[in-house]
Amino acid sequence: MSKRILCRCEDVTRAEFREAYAEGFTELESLKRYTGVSTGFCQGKGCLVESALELSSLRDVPPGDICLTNIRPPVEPVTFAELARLEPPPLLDDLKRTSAAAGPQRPDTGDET
Amino acid sequence: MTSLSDETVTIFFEGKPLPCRAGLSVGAALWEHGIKVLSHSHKFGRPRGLVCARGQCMSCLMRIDGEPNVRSCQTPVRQGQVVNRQDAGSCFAPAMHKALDAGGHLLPVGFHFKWFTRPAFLRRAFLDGLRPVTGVGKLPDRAVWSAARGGPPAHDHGVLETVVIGAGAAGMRAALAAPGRTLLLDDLPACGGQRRAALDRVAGEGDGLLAALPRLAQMRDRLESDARRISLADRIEVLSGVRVVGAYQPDMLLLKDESGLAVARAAAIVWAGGAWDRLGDFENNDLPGLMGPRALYRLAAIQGLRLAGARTVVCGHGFDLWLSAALLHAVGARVALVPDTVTGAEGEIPAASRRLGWALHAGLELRRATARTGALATLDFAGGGGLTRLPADLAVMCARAKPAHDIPYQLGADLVLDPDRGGFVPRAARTSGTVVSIVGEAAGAAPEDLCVEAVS
Repeated sequence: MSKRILCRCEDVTRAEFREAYAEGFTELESLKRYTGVSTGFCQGKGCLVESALELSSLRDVPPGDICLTNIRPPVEPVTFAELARLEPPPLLDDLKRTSAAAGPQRPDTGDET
Repeated sequence: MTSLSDETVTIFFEGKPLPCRAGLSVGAALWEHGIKVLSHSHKFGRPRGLVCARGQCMSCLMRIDGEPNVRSCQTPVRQGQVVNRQDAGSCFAPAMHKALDAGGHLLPVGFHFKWFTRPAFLRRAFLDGLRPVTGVGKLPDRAVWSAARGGPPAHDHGVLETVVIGAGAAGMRAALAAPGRTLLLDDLPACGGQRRAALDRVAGEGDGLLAALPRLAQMRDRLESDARRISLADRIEVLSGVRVVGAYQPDMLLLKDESGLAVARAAAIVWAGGAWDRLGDFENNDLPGLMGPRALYRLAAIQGLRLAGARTVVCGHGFDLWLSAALLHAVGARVALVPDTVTGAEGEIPAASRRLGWALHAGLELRRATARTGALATLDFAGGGGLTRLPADLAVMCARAKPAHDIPYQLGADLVLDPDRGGFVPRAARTSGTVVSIVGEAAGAAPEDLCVEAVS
């Protein structure tokens, strides 16, 4: 069966992405949660730009109006055994500082927990 | 740069012994045996294979020596290695994959993770049934568990002056321009990036191929001279075989090499992480056998994948169209060229194609790819008054690449979506209040821009 795949990891077709938009998910952040684009193993390297461009044409807004979704480390798979070997104190300090500092701006989609 | 020998090792793929050339990755070795389908996607059961060949796309995940989710493009073959597809062993898998591929579009978006979420016992039963079919969720063999335990604590590089991530054209230039002690990181064994390896292979061809293609020769000169200057500069330390897998604001990097994770912080971080291949939007754009130029350079030039006699199609435009075609020519593949245009900067394409014996098809638009036994068989184009069908064992898509945005985003860079520059690119070279600056293809430059950039 012929398909135009948007996200290879989560197997999301372009048609599904448009369907989800038509259902009322109009922000990249909520589309990501609803369809699964960019939530797979590759963390959006294969589909995030394509999805953002698709959304900008669906919404008929300039591409510059579409904000990047949150991308959290690690960006490649890391095993728990490897993580366990990190010296915890400096990393924890950093995590605290990161969450305290204001991150890059993106729209409030109402589904942030 | 190629570390291939004539030595042969035997691996066991789904129980069958396969002789493989030592030095190849598992994925490339299987390709040489005509096995291009390495896994299946978990929803529609579509065939998946080598796509990025740099450990980033995860299309090649296999179960290797009892460990699930191993990147077969990054794992070298080893004597006695046991390699399996993750969905192998379920007798339902082929039938279910077929049914979902045919009828999946009738199911609601995200059905596979939204159905049967309640009650809990039903969810459990649904997942227990689904996992063996999709090939996910199977734990590693016990021997793998125990081997992963323990080990020394992760290395801490401390606070460094300047860290440059990526030793390609832009990263080398940035390291040379940086003041003071500089650490230059790359996942490849040598400086110059995957293009330098590809250019080396083209230059090694010997029949004047490189001399016939001046824009490639010019890029090679630049990369060679910069790599030489890097090796002479005492203040630049090159760390190869390292990938940056995460970043924490304001200045901390999570690094990964063969021995595990390490951390480093730096007063200045230069992101020269390059770009990701873009395959494009057409029917069956996910078939194994379709890849971008960066993947081709790694497979054919660095790993030494044998492509002699293969039918290959190179589509797109720009520097990578030339280099991909030249590399395929150098390794003995049959080359068909489908350029976006043969005018302007690409005006030399017809003459070069005639001279080098490349089949040239201009003015075509890619519509769909078709498969035979799961992998790419043909590309169908519209234009020229009908449908043009080109047979292809491998097709290289040289579209505008997408600047790698993940690590600079995590370091707080201000990124904006700009289709003309390929994707999410920095609004300015440097966002105030951050330690990261972004250069080269990661900042939206085209590879040809990197070549003509003035020497600093």
